[in-house]
Amino acid sequence: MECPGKEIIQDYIDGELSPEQAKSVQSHIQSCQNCKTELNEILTFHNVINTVVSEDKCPPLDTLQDYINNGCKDDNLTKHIEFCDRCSSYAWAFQASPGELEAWQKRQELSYQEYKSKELGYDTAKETLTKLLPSRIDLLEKAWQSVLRFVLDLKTKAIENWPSFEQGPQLVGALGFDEASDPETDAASIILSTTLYISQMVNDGEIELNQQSIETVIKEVSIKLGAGKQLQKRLIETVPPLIMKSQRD
Amino acid sequence: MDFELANEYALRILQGEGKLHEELVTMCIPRLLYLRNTLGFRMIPEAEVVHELAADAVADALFKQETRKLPFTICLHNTFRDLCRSRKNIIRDRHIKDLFETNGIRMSPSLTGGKQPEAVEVQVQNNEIFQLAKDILEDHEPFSKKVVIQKSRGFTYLEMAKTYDKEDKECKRVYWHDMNQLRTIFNSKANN
Repeated sequence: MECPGKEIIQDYIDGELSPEQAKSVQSHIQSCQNCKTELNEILTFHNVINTVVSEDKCPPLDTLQDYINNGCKDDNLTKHIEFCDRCSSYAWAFQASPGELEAWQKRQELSYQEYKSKELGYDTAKETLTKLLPSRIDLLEKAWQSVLRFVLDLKTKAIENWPSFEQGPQLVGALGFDEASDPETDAASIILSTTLYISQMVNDGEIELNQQSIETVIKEVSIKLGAGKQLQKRLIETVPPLIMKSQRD
Repeated sequence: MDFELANEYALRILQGEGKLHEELVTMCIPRLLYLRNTLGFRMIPEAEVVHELAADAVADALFKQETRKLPFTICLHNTFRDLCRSRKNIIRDRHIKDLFETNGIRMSPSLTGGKQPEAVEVQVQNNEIFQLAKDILEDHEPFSKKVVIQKSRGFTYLEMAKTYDKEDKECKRVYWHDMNQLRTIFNSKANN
């Protein structure tokens, strides 16, 4: 094996390699004096820096609060806070007004809801694709970001105002597959987009969590996206139970 | 987690409704897992967050809420990040120790974080090394210095990326570039 590149050694030290990769790097290092010396130097320097940084301990929160209450007059603490995001976030909280704290909470709550909704949508879309078109599960990771953008855009503009998507290639094009518009890719795109769309609507409280409401939206969306009768039927059989299960969990 | 409800439960617990404590911990777990995932602490096993860190974070956040007069949710957020960083540092130190061992590298115990007493001349030599590293770091460019210090304190690249509004890959690149640069300066000075 050739000497691993710098980035591989960095990932090895950061613990970001897979066990197999780490094993192969390790077996190389044991037989290569140059790499061993390099690793030795890096690790030693890491430990020296860690020791030096750990000597500059964060002050207790009492001290930090007194510092804020007394108008931030301690130069050493000011210097520490400038270089310590942990202490600066506590310092911010100590001097924030109730309105600022409330705004912080609203922002956090919003990004948490968005994340949760994406996670749920992802899981449901993955499960649907696995059930309906297992041979194209590879499209999940490949298309996920564009499906997400596409669906959010679709939701913002509302489906009835959206230009007709009755032709498969148009949807496939929107998802970045214009060169590969085969029927399976079309179907996978429709499955992912429809499932995510419904999942987002339920999560955002835009439709009720029951079989009938979900079925209605599946029909509406999948037809617009170009699903044939067979695919529509299978989506209706598969998606509502999955969505209801994910929402209950 | 419903933020308003969590704040309300926390207030009621502090007013004596201790039986709500367990319910509050359960309520906070999804939020803590979200923080673990989005802030780059995936090296901490999910089970550890659920069975250990969640209860610790809630207990500490309740204490902070009472003493600092801050909303429970912000105390929970800060406390959990502190816990994750300290856990990450334990994992990192163990990992580096393993790297030393598995690659057959031997060195001064105090430089590998060991606590065994060493000969006076070794201690003096190590203190000189630490002082030299401190001086080099002190003179370093502010943003790079910040990245090196934060990483050493247990921050993840993702946390830094959010704070400095950059890509996590860029923070990683800056960190490694600077560690290599600092190491070169350190080696040339140490050899003189």
